[in-house]
Amino acid sequence: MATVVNSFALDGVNAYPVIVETVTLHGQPSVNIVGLGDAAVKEAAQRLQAALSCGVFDFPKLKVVINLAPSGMKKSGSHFDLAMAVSLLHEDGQILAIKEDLMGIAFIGELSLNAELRPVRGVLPMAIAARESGLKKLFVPVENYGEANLVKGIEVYAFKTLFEVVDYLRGTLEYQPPVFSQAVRPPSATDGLDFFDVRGQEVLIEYTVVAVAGGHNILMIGPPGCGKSMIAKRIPTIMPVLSEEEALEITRIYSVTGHLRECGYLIQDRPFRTPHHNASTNALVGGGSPVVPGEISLAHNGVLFLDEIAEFNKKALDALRQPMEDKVVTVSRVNSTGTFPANFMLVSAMNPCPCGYYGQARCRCTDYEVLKYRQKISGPILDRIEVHKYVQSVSFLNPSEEDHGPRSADLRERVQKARDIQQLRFAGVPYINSNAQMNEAMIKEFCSLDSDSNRLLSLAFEKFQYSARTYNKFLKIARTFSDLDASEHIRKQDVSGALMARDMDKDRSGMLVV
Amino acid sequence: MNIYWLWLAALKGVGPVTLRYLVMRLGSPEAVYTATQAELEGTEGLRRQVVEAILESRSLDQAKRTEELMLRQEIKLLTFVDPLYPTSVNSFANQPAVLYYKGTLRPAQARVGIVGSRRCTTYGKQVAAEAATFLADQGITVVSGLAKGIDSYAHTACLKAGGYTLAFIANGPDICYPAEHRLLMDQIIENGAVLSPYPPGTRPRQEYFPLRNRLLSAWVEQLLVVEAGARSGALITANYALEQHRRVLAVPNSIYSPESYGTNRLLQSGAELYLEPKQLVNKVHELPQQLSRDIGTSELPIQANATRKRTEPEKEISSPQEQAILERLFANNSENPVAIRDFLDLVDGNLKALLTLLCSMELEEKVIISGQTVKYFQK
Repeated sequence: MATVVNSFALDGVNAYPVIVETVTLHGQPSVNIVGLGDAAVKEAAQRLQAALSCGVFDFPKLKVVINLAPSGMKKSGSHFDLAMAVSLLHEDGQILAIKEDLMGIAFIGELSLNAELRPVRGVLPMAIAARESGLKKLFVPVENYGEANLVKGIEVYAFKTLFEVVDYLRGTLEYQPPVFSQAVRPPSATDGLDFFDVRGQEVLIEYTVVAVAGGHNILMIGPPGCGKSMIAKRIPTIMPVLSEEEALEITRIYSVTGHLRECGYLIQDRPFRTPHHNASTNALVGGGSPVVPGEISLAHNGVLFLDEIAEFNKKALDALRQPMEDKVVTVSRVNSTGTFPANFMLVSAMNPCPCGYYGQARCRCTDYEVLKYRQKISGPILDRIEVHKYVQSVSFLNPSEEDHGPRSADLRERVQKARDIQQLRFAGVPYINSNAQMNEAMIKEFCSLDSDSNRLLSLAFEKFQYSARTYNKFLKIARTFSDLDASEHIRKQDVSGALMARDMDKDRSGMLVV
Repeated sequence: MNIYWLWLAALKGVGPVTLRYLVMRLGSPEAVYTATQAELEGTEGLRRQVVEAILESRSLDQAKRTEELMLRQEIKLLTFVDPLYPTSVNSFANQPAVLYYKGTLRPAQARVGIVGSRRCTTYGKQVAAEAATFLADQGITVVSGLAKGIDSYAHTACLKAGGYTLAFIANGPDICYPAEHRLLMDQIIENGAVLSPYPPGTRPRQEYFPLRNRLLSAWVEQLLVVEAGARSGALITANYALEQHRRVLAVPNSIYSPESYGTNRLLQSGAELYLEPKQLVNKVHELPQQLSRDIGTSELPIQANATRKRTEPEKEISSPQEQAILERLFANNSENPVAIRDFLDLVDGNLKALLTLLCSMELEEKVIISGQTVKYFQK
């Protein structure tokens, strides 16, 4: 009779139960692991032999067959080690007096050659899967304790070594939950950042608030060193505080990618991701085999900051189109398919022209060159970025020493209020929760203009020769402006605010090109 | 018949002078092609090398290939015997005898060249655009070189005003250089022509440009040099124009501006001072008198001009804040932009109110907003 214990395998950001079956047969001594494991799973044979041969246990001198069921699905990772070791020891009769039912326990952990337990990635989704499949107990390496403990409704046991696990199963060890010093909140990227420190950029900050409040994406255009990154980094500080559900979603993704090993706790800050502009398409949207999440999923519920967006590979950028629309991305490969959440705010920055000093006396770029440079970002992507603002360098704005920006906490409050209004407006509409996501019909319903505002808008269209498709963008931004003031209707000042949110379109009319 | 022209133009050792001479003496390129050794040797004034070159390369293969390429690319041939080839250019025997062009050529019409540096300033752009628009309105052809900067602005402004423009390029007419002028080139072909002394397939090279410049300057009656650095191609064009006794006008600018070093030098060495587009119509040099009249009373009109601008009545002031904003923009030299935040004190720190005010002012053409700055609107 084979011994059967529970473990889990990862599929995207989800885990599914895997049954580890072990049997010893008469034959030439060997270890065979079947069930479509990758190299890490196959190598477990070596780790098992070493860990079981360190004096306490005996490695059976028989033919050992370990099966990972369901056997038709590809599995990867080193976290099956513990389950294999326990089932082998039980099968070989080395753990006889078992205090409780093995089937009620799930095992996760990698073995070292000295039989210590090592942390693994993806513990959070596995713990969730354990709860869903009705298991009572989950055994994890001690480093993964915090992460597994985030899931309520399941008992998590953390162990340092395989010996402890076996002793506990034999009933010879009194289990002591590990003690952690409190308040080990890992330092986050946004710690100590505040818009208070940004001097002289009031106008830009106002538009940043609008972008965050309405879920609009923003593009900052300015010369090198004018403070674009400084502002981008502070955007997470004014986004609404993470709800527990959102935090869990983020932690789940980070758990799968292995980013959590250092902190091992619930992520409480909105992510801020800044991929370098040589990032590949797969690095951005996710890929590989097995499929792992990319930067846009790591920025889920947070900010994806693309600095020098014009330098990004055009193909990689265009791959963002669909996830920006759907807020999820599905990455398909021959062997596996992964669906990852990707609800991020796109913050991007670029130079206005090849030399970077457009509009200043020192710039000698021709209009044709400027347009060519700007066309590096494809139309569909630009289309999804509602707010385009020029950034002037601080030296030009010349703020005084005691000047300072508004406090992030105050801005966050304004954002939260505007978001609450939107939540109410779109209650009952699935998949839509911000002004930026409104469709044509909703724009018609929620963005009606009075005659005064209408006149203003048509005047601007005439003067700057905007294209028809920008019309809806102005309306959406105007809607957010009025939400920030808790106004029911779009007023004239909201429209004029929106009209100043698209600097690049305005430029276009001033250029002398065919 | 084209094929013999192409053959003759591609012959090594036969330059434009020889080509013209050969065709004049023998009647046509075909006659040159079919001429026997005795006939050629009997032709007076032909060097031995030329005769040898003709006799040795009687193959029409390359010419056929070029002709095919031209057909495919809709490139036409303009030879010096063509009535569309200006006589004023033909008077120089060293001008290319064969040109390749795309577009439509019109019979004799007044032509003004506008040239300048590639890396130009906003000032240069403004001057070039103004002149080209004016010329287009007057039905005068604008001639330039399809280069970046001033050239492209001259072409573009002319096209936008519905004018007719010619572009002289230093590569085959099937190639667009610089690449970003693709659209512009197409537009010029539609409303004018792109001409080149080089056969299709020729890539641009530095050493090709002087010939293009010499052709351009010969083609025009007047040449306006907008901006030119110390070693600018526009200066080369201007020098050719002077050699060819064309009227050369140069745009004055600050003596400290590196973009205007060349133009200021041109002025110093006797080029005509350009002050307004009207000068480009007057063939008669009546500027000196005008100038002297202005100089006599220079103090007054300039002052009057300045004060008039300050109290321009056409802009209606609707609120005290607006008044204050406009006044401050003036005080800061109306050319320079001012940060929006500097006006926050006028509205008690209410940013939104300020944005609303500025937005309406922009739509009423009182100010120009660019990012976080405002500047005074000037026509």
